[in-house]
Amino acid sequence: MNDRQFEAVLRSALVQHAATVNSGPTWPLDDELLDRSTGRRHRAAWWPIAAAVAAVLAVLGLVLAVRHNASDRHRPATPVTVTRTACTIDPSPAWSAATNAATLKLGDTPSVILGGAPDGTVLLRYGFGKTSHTELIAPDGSRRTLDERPELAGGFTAKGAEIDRRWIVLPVWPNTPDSPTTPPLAEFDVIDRATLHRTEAIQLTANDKVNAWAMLDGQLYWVDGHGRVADHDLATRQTRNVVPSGALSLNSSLTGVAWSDAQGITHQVAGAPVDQVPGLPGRHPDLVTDGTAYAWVGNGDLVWYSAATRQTVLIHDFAPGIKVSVRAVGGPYVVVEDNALGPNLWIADTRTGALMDSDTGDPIVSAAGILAFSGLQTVIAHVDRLPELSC
Amino acid sequence: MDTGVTTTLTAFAAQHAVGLTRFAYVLTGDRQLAEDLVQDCLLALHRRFGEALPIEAPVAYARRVIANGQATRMRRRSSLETVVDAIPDVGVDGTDLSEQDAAWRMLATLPRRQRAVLVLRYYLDLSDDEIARMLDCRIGTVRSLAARAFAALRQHPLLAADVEENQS
Repeated sequence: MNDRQFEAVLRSALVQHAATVNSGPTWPLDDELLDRSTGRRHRAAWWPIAAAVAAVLAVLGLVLAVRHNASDRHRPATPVTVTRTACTIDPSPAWSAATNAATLKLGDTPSVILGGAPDGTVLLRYGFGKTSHTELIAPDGSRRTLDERPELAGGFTAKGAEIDRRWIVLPVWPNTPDSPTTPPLAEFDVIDRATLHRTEAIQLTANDKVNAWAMLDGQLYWVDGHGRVADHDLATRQTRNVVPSGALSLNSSLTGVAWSDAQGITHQVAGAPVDQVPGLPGRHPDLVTDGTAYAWVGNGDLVWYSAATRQTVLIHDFAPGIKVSVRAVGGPYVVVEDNALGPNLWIADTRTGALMDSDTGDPIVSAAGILAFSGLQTVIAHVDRLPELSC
Repeated sequence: MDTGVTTTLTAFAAQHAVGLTRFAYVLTGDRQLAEDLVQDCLLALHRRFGEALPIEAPVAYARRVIANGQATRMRRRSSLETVVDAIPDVGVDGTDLSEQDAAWRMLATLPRRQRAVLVLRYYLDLSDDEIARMLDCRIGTVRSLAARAFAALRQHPLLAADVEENQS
């Protein structure tokens, strides 16, 4: 049986067994059951009042925050540590409403966030093949269109674009639809962010087997299959090897780049340490930051720290018995991935300890007050417009 | 661009509940779990949108909710499910398996994501790009999962025998 025959058998098996199902679940549920399952009636009755109260509190909070900032401008904040206990909550209608409002309306067109910049700008591609478009979307919502297919003919780009103040770097893979695995990276396309024109195509060979890359302040770094770390200056277009061997991967943050070896030890390449919070002791391999807030998992607690307020929040009982990793932080929200049985994403609100299943998608960008998710739909949310999740 | 309201949840359920249950069934191999997943999906849609569905591709959206819901169900299974000593489903006779039955049985042995890739590719006929978006992973991951799933299925004695017969 060749692969084609095998595929036919598989297709037939699925169709045959699917055809044995001739009924689905009952819908609509009776009102009582529906209300009990969703809490909708209760929430619907109180939602306008809660929204009004939340709006008043938000305005009040904003006024107080502005006054507080003005009065404390010349005084360093006092470090504070707060502990909370995690609580799992049902999906929040307010969160859904906010993310719906922040969902890009692209019709049935597929879309993917290619990458984000430290200033909160998002690089989005939507459409397929010849009809695909690539746009830079600024935090204020303004859009600029790149060439419709900036990468060279015959290749495709995907998640993993790097963006700084001056440059956009698109990783480009060779288009080999029959290959069962992703082929090695073929090139980096370098685009001037001011003109949105390609200035350079950094050619890579299959033998390079580049598997990780990062950009910081106009320098593009990558690790190849021989354990080397290359440093390419995007302005002068010069490449030099900064690590001759032993590198396995790159770790990067908004402010630093490091490489890690086979033992998992990180070695700084440029900028600030990627696994350290400025001003705090300790190193955290899974540290994430949006530029102001930091989050990591330590001793079973989810830890959040704000460089602006110097407040630390420890959330106890976060995920007892489950291995979790922090994926992103955006203001008070932390996106956590649970790898226990199939990856699953959670949103934690560090103001309350509330923990909610996330159906928003994969967090791709978290910087400068923007939290962007890429999934079936693309969500680009302003963190300050998202609701507090309550226990 | 405003998507507008395209349908109601009740109409959507009436039209697609069976189809979605079939999808959930081939995804999980468990009919009761499939119905639960679809019910959860409808509840999730109700929680999120109410009766009106202001989305342009509700079936695709629902399939994604079901695929993600399966992961959540698996994670919570230890606390939600009860172990019973009798199997409620009646199985097929295993003494004279057709290739389709063998393939179905082998699917049950695959890890969740490998099975999901095969179901999305061969039941829904989605492209690898579409599958990658539905599973929130790269195209390469989809192909890798498919290749591993194929390799695993090919190791089953029934198919191994078929391969030998064809080669000889």
